[in-house]
Amino acid sequence: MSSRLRHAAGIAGLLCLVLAPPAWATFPGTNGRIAFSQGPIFPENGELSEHSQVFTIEPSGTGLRQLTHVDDNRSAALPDWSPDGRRIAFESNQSGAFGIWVMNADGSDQKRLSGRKGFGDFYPSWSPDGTTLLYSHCPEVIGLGFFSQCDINAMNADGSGKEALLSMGRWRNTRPQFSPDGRQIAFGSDRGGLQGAIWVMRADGSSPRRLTKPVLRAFWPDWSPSGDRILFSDNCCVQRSNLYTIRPDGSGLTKLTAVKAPSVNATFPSYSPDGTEISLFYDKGCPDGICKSFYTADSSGDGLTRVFTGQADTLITDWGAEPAP
Amino acid sequence: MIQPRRNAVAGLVLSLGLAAAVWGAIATSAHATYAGPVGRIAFSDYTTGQIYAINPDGSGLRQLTHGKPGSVSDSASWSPDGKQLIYAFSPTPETPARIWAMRANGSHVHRLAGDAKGFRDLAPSYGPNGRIIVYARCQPGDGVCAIWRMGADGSDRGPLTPYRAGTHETVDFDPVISPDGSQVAFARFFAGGVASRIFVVGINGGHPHAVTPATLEANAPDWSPSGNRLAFGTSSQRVGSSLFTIGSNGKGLTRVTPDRYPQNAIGPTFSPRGDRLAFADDRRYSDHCCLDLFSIGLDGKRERRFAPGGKGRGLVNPAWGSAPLLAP
Repeated sequence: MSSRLRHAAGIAGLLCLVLAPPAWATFPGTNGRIAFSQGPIFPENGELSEHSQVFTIEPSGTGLRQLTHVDDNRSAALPDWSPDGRRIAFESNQSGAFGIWVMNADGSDQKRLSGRKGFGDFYPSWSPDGTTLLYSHCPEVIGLGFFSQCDINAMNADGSGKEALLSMGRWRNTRPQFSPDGRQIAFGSDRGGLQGAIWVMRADGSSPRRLTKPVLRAFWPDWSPSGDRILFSDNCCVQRSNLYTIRPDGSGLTKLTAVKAPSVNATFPSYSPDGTEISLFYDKGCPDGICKSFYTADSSGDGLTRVFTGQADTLITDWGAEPAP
Repeated sequence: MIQPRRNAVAGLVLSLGLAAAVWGAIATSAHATYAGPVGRIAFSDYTTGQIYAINPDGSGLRQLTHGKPGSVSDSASWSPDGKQLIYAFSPTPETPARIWAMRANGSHVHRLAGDAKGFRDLAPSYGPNGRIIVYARCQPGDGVCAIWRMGADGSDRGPLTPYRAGTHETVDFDPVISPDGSQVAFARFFAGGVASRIFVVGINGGHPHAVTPATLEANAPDWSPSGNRLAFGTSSQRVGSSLFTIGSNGKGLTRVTPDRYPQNAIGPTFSPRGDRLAFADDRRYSDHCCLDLFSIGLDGKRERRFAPGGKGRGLVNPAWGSAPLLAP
């Protein structure tokens, strides 16, 4: 999500200031640190017992910092940078049920904003103006230990004002992401009995529409900072994922990567704040698919560069903006 | 119903399959019902791993299999004359299941097919003449499944649908032969990015086509004895399954059981008269621990619970046949 925020805060913001009254105050974004977490700690996965911490690292692979220190049987995962690069939202079950937390960029001042027994809250992401957080709110299926349904909720950045934006049907609606202008939300969903697809709706949760064909099994949307493309991955549920972009109107599908090996994946992408690069999970050469690195690449998908983290099961990245002085 | 699941991104990228995998513990399976006298209902208890039979009024309960602890006998299907049962049997949790047969009283147990080492043979179902069996043959490990057919003595084995793995992964499961013997209905998972639909294919493998909409996530089909309709469960990616029927031409979708989300009605089997369905249901257990067996009229009325599971018991995969009722 940070991508959208930063770009919200970034280039797009500048353009808005020049061309039209901005819907939200935003800042120019230069590429800052990359936050990452370990393991698939999200509700579509039936195995949420894995352990994860949140870290940040320079895109060059230097300056690793561990921001969370949850117990070995708990998780802190799916970090999302605030638009100004000063705060990070994440999900954690360190105090019970999975809830949404926020902290400063150095890991200080950690606060729980949501989370209650019988539900799991996942996939936090900031609005372009930094005042709102989106997340998936999922009732737990008692006894079966998984999440059959996820609504998309919003709350103020202090945890107040929680409301459901999308609760129609019993589908898993996941990874909600504001567009840079704050007017739309992209999300992944299995709505309609599909394995996965990218959807877009208005910021108030109305008029959801599907952008991608069922056969793509698309998931993990991320808006480009300019707002003209949505980056995502295919093959949510099978091997050999690749990255694509598509316009928010569903046109212009473009494949960025060319993974062909049967059990290799390029997935979980995040745009850089200036929109020229992406970070991604790429498991070529990782023993048993357990990687201690992620990759960066040009926004075209070329120039794959490995970033060694040294942390087992490095998986999810979010590229933050450099805080203004 | 749901079965196997191989996974994505080295186990990271999950997917719908996962919920399916969770449900796999409570898998449903196929068992065609053909016209005849209203006879006994065979079923499995997944907590004991044994197969039983019972009268439709709940009397005359008998245990038919007596496998050793750790073995699993499941997915019974009656021969049309009610004299034989076929089922999937694995002697240990690590041993791939094979198709076995026994008489209606549980005697004369024997294996039908032992070829294709490492493959798992599951969800067998007799054809209407009793001379053909269809089943799901799944590739080793968590591999994908295709529909196979063989003679009732285990001979002349061959595939009806192809194996599709990798990015085109498809899992075909729960085959049932139509009463006129010309077609096979089955559940097809993941084809084209759709979680699951009921497909119908010719008895020789020709012209496979979907008959249910993607949004239902349909699974575990059974033909009505007249051959005009199919019954099935829903919501294969999640909880909240209920039962529907649909014309074998894909028209006339009709709900049979109410929506009791997140509770589940699964694995329907027609009565030999075609006027009722028997099925497994966890409505009495909010923690989804257990399942009872119910039957209900096709109009959703006259429901009865005929086999209580009780705490710790999971009664599943009822198969309604024409074996003579036992005196209470």
